[in-house]
Amino acid sequence: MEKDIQEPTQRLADNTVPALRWGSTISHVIWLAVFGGFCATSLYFSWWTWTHWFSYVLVGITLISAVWSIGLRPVYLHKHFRYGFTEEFLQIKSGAFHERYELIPMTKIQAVSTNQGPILRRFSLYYLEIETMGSSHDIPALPKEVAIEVRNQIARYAKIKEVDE
Amino acid sequence: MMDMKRYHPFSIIFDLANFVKNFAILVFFAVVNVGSDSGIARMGQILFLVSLVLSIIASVMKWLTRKYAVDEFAFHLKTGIFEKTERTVYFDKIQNVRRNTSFLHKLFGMTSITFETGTSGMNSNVKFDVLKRSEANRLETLVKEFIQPGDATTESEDETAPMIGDRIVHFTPTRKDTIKASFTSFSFLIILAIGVSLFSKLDKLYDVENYLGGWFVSVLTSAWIIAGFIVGLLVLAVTVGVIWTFVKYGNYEIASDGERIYISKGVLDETTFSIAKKRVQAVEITQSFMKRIFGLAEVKLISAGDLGDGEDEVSSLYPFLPVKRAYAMIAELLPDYQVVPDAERLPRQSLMARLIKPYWFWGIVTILLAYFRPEVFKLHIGWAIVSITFLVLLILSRVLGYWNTSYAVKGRFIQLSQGTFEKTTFLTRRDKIIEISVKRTKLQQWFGLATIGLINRAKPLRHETLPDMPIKEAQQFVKWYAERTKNVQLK
Repeated sequence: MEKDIQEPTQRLADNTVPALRWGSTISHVIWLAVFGGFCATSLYFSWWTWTHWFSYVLVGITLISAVWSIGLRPVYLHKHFRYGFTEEFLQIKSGAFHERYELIPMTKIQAVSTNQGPILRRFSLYYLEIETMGSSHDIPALPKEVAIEVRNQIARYAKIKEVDE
Repeated sequence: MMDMKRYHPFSIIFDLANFVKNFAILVFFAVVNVGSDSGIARMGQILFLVSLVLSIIASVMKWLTRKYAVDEFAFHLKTGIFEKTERTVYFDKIQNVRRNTSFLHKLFGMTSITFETGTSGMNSNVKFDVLKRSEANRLETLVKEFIQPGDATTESEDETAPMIGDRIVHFTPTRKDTIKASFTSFSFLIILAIGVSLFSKLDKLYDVENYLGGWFVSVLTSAWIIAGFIVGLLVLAVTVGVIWTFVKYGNYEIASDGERIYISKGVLDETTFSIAKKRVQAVEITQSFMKRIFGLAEVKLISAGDLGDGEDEVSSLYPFLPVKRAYAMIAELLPDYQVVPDAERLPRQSLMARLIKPYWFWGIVTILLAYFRPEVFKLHIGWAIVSITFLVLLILSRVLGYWNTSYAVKGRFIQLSQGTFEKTTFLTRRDKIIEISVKRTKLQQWFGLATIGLINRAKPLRHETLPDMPIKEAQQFVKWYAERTKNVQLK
């Protein structure tokens, strides 16, 4: 054991929580409008009983999901998400209830991209998508300079390929 | 510009043969009803003739426009009637080579060859449907002899010097192997399948059922005749089974030289598979329940390229190898691979964690049962009995799963064994693993356990996991993987 690999330490951007909250709030409002509309039409035109129930269930699920993804998830995600990389490996760690740790050799990374939707733009954040031969990994929210720096750095390290690909 | 060659002109004939095979019924009707002038028969004839002419034109056009060339680095392919496509496939991307010689190929002294690359998508291979054997040999040799500079040093830890050209045959099945194989695979049941399909087909044409039924009743009058009938049927079943097994696995041959492994099989339909040793991504040993009883095992080589599907799949070393022989063969073929027979078991607390883990599926089933309360065996509490039996079975399967799980991390290798009735052992090398993960649910955190996961190149990708490993060992596993840089060579 010449060198033990260090646990990843880098964290997401400080304003991750409001950004994610805004994102999920908007999507949940839309869903609620759709399902609420369905519920209202179902009641107004007095469709069948099962459509009433169906719409109640849909609205209920949306509300529960709203509590989770607006109230809790952003906080947990920000609190437990860590990433880190060296010349050789990228590491991503997330979750408390379902703890998850991934170790990806730089040589196996195929593509890395920074992405930004309208809400992340308001907060001037980017999410990073890292694709390997096997899967794709996300870093959900990084400040602009950091995101670009990390992207370029990973791209540089990932340029090296192993013999026998 | 390189001079491009056309494919062998016989490809037109083979296209036609394929067409006839696919439209056999149409052909049958067209031929049988030649003289008839009923409307439908005429329609069928016209339809058949039109599609025949069209397909002939199409295959001639295809033959005229498809061209290929080979140099010492790559295949160059040209296709397309209206939209022209040019493709270059470099030899260093080729993962394995498959050659299939069907009965029809044999009649004409032809063969077909497929070079598989590891890329995803439609054009992942270079395929020659019909070509002369000499041409196939030429292409295969070109690919084989293409060695990247410095490639040989990838296996720096190999002491065994490569002996190119020395082809060693490791295994051909004896008669005993074939018979054993035919029983383990229940091939004597084949006759049932053949019988049923034959019967249903004949029954559509003639009224076999009535005819046979009468005959059957008259036969069943004497005990002796019944006994004779049964014995005859059994003998027939076993013979058919053995013949079937022979046709399928009879000509098996596993051979290797310094660089590559060659597997060939089939009597009527010959298939040959060859892969460079360094391209083997992993080795998988599978034992079905029957095979475990007979002490047999199937060893499969995992390649990053396509392996063909179903019947054509040939990455398997003989599927009915005695376990010891199988292990020895892995060591012979891939000198640095080694199966650890007494791998480490999971600790007691893993069993505890596995048993405590919620039985979601059982819960849902039980709620449904309790709600509907179906009468089972004419008992009021029948549903409860069903639910309890189900739970017991689930618990048993978890215990069995625990019992069959073992792992070993040794040198550059990792070996994972799992299964309930069937047992699968997955063996791979550190540098062939493309990424790893460690996951822990809350329950596992309480018990100090973790689930490790690894991904290997294959088609489709192999995701292997081993749940409920002690956390210390999981950390060790991460450390072990992080040291892979020692074994890999960078470009």
